[in-house]
Parts: sequence; C-alpha cells; structure tokens
Amino acid sequence: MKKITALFMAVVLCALTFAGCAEKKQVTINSTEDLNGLKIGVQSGTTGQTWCEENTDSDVITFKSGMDAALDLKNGAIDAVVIDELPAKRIVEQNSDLKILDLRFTKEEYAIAVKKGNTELLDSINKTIAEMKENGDYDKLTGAFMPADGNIVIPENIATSGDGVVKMGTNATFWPFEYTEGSEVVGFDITMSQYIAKGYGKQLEVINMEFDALIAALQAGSIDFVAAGMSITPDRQAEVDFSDPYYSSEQVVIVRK
Amino acid sequence: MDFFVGIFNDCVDFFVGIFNDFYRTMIQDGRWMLLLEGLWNTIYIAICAVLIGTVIGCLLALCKISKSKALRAVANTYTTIIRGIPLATQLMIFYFVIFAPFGMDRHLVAVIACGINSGAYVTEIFRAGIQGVDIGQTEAGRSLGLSSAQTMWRIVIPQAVKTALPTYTSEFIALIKETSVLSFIAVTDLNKSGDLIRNATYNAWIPLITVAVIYLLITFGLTKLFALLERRLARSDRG
Repeated sequence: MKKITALFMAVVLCALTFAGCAEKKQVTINSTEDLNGLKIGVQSGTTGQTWCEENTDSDVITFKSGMDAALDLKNGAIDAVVIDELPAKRIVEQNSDLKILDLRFTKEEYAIAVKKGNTELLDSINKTIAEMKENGDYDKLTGAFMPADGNIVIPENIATSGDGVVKMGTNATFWPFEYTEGSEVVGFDITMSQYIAKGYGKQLEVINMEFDALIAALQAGSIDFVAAGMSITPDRQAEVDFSDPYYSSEQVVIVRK
Repeated sequence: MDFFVGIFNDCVDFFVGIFNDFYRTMIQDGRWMLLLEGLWNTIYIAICAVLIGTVIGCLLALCKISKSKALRAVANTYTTIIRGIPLATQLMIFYFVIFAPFGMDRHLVAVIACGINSGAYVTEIFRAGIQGVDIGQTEAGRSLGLSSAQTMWRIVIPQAVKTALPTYTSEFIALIKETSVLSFIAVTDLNKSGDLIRNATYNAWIPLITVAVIYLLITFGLTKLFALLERRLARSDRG
C-alpha cells in the first residue's frame, strides 16, 4: 500500500513539474487586430466583453471581477485583459508585472440606470446630476475619489435622513467607482447615489451584487436604480432607461510586462 | 361564451409570447450553441471528476479500514479537510494558489479539484458500505480458509457495493449540480452559459428556466439509470 501511495505521489509531482515548464507567452499588441487569436479576460456583462466579441476574433473569457481576470493574466492563463481605464490603473499600480497598453478605443459614458418607465425617479436623478455639476458638488466628488495626490478621502454619508429607502444596486469590484473598505461599500458612485437619494427624499440602501445580475435585478424590481460605472449602450438602452451621463471613460488593454 | 374565448385568446397570447422570447434568446444568433458548450463542459468535467473521485474513494476507504495507523491518519486528514471546506473555496485555492504558477488549463484544474472533492465523500460512502457488511460474513469467509484479502474481495466488497450504490448515486448527482460553481474560475459550465445568454439578451427567465430543465433532465436520467443498476444487483437477494 505504501509503495502504491509513493508511486502515485511521484507521478503527480512529475506531472506538475512538466506542467510548470509551460512558458508564459509574451504577446506584442500594436493595434486591435493583434488581439485576434489571443485569450482575453473580461468582467462578465461589461462593455469590454461586448467590444471584444464584436471587434476581435479572440477567445473571450469572462470573470466575476476584473481583479480575477488580472490574477489569471499574471498566472499566465490568459494573454490580455480588457477593462475600463480607472480600474485598470489601480490594477497596474498594485501589480508591478502588468502594464497598460497605449491603445485607444472609443469613448464611453457612464450613467445611472432605472427600470423602464420609472420617469419619476429618472427625472429626480437627472435634476440631482445637473445640480451637482452646477453647484460644484460634482467637482468635490471627483476631487475626493480621483485626487491628484492619490489620497482618497471618503465624504460623509449625507443621505441618513428621509422617508423610506431607495435601493441602489452596484458591484463593488470597480475602483474608484465602487469598492470595499473594511466591510463598507464605498466609492464615487456610492457618494453620488447618496446625493441622488437625498434629492429623492429617501435614505440610501446599497446592494452589492454581481455586475451581470444588475439589469435583471432592476427589471425584477429588487433594486430601484443601478450606479455601477455602467456605460450607455444601445443593447442596454433597449432594456432600461439611462440618466444623463456623469463620467466619460474608455476601455484599455492590460498585458504582462 | 365570450368569457371563455377571451381566456383562450389570453392563453394563446401567453404561449406565443413565451415562444417568441425563447426564439429571440435561444435560437436567434445561435445562442443555443453556448448551452451545448456549457452542457458538454458540465458533463465531461463531472464524469472525469467522478472517475477520479471513485479511484481516490476506493483507495482511501481501504486505508480507513486498514490496520495501519498511518494509513488511517492520512485518510482521516484528507476527508476532514476536504469535507470541511466548500467546493467554491477549494476550487479557487486550487486555481489561484496551488496550480497558479503552472499556468495550467482551467478545465484540467476544474476536473482535479472536483475529483479531489468528490473523493472525500466517496471515501466515506465506501467505508460505510464495507463496514455495513456483517462481521459474520468475514468470519465465515476466514473459517472457510480464504485469506483476508480474498474475503474482502470475494465476500465483503460485492455486498458493500450493493448497499453503497444508492448513496454513491446521490453523490454523483450532487457533483453534477455542484459543478455550477465552476464559473468562479471562468469555466463555461451549463450555469455559466445561462448567465452569458442572460447578459446578451437581458432576459432572465428563459435562460434560467432552460438551464434548470436541462439540469433536471440530466439528474432525472441518471437516477433512473442507477435505479436500473440497483434492481439488477438486487436480483441475487433472497426475497
């Protein structure tokens, strides 16, 4: 019995050693055509996924978060990750062996999504966004979450009083728009949602779920609006109503150095 | 009469609506291909995992009932650790920690992780089966002059298989359902392909119900298949 066990262990070790010899492929990407034939990681349900599927002939692998995709990239199982600009910066800051390519795609615009036909809430959201841009609250918000010196100061919750709650759905894997600090979900979108809730006269309840479940949750009525760095796309517009855009971003490509 | 015609028309509209939704989400743009891919991944990973699990289970069940203290300790540690950690956590540990430096194929990692997980449960099932055979059977075998290995192989194991089979079946079925956590390491299993269709169409219930029905059909088919086997094995029982 002992001999069999020893033999089994030896075989496993050999297999692992050979597997370990597999070299991490070094890829050079100068244009979007170079993405063809590569294994590209994206977060499930994001515009990065749609973009890769429509514009490249690549093997698109969907992850639950951008960070998981980045981890897989580091380990060598995929060749590139396509993700929004700011989370990409964060990922590269934290992983010195990854870099962002100097490739520019089309601009996208983030907006708040509500259930189709919920004009009451949508009007209130648009009014709040317009007000924030006018009275300087919006600049304060970008100053707080995208500071030049890199030190984020999270503003106080301003939506603590109010009649009833308004439920906001998000996916806290998208720095600096929504992420977790301690056990709290914080970020640009969260603070902006607090302004929205205040303008709507309610308290804010943040519900953290998978990004690709947000639109279904909105349609099912389990959340009232989505603030998750969600870009406006025609496909999504057919399903939900979007507010006025509040931030412009773009997709970038991350690869190993 | 108009009332019933009205109800009838509503019903027709309802089913036409479902059919149109189904057509739009599944048939149009060939999204059912995604389901096929997911189904294939689920089935082959589950089958490979159950084979690995059975081999591990057989070896460790023998370790568990052996006289050697060391072998018993190995088997006990294994089952304690594996059964005490959820499959999703184990899967991520295997993929992102243990096999991470090797850049191994995610499907292979999925098979290994599910196999090792299943092995722990199968070990306990086989051990219970073997220990469930009356000690008198072993004594009778030994007094007839069979060696202890022969007694085990010819007398105890055939009876143990019969008692272990129903629980073994439910382990296989549980494993098929548990593969739905494979999306944690970005493997496109059946559940994940439903997710992908939901993302592409923003229609939640057609893909979810379809996936549920497919899982149900697989598990139902397996239950029937194993029930057949059980009946075949029961033939030698004295009524």
